[in-house]
Amino acid sequence: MKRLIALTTLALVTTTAAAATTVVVKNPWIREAPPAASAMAGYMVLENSGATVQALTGATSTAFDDVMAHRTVIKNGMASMVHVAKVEIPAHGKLVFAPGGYHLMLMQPKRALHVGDKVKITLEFANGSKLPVEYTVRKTAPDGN
Amino acid sequence: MTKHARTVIGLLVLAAFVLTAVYWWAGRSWLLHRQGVPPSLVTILQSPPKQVPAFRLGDQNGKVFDRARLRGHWTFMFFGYTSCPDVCPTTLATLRNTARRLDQAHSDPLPQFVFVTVDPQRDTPKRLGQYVTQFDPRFIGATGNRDQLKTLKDAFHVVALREPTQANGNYEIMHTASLFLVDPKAELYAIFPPPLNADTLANLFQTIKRYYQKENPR
Repeated sequence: MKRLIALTTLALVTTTAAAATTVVVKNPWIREAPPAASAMAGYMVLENSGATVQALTGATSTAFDDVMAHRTVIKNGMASMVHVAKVEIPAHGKLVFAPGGYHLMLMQPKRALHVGDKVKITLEFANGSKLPVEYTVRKTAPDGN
Repeated sequence: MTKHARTVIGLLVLAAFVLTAVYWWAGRSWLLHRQGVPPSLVTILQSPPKQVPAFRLGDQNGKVFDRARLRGHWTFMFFGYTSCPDVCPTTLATLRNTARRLDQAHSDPLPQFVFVTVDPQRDTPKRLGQYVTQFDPRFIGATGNRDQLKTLKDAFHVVALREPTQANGNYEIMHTASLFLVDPKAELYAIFPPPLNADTLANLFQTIKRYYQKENPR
């Protein structure tokens, strides 16, 4: 019986770790910041081709001290940021991380990042899947803004 | 009071409120229209423009940045801090693109672009300088003591609230994200609410300059 539990647990763990995500990331980029900047921001479009809702629950990277999903909220002309512990990407839908809205807050870059540099950040989803994404450092957004 | 009566009173109050708002809005629009204000400027122009009070800050090169530096130039002003990951770099990038559009349109002379810190504790003149000039070497970063910063923030009704310090020692500052335009007489002339766009800003700035020249003939 103990062995059965152990086997089942192992099977579960393996399945979870290998769980695939139906999310693909388009246009991942990081805004180049001056060397003085202690925080940078990462942007992207998350597209979910699956029939079930997916949820982004975290992100990790060795290039920064910490990575967190944040959202800029502008209310009565005041900008503030809220930490987003979980954000959903609708089934057959998309979620946009763009300046002035959702962004990955990248704390204390370990080295200065310049235009053209590539940075790996691994996105974590509620179903246990992980998705490594390569972000390009840019001066302006892919749409020119 | 019956439920019915309460609903009626509620609706009356709402109607009164809406009518007042519409009256105020229509009155202001009509007034500005009569004065020949282009429609695109009606919601952003300060009417009348308000003189910026005397203040004394410093720029990244250690030079005094005071009201005298506002006279004789148009000046775009934004209040933020260098540890701000999203809104401030986004705005500075938009301003860099605005400057580029104005360069291309040969809109001489180019306005000044000033980034005033709301975080004097961390934003030293040197740090501010490295930060703003990365976006455009012509940009000015200004800081100073709390009283002087307060004078300027109050004049623009800028609010900045420090959030609690996090476990890693970092803190964020909630702040006004509007962009301000000061005219060559050092008067607050226009306020642009977020989100900002470089093309729109460059076009509005040209319209504002034309309107200003008409209103202030030499």
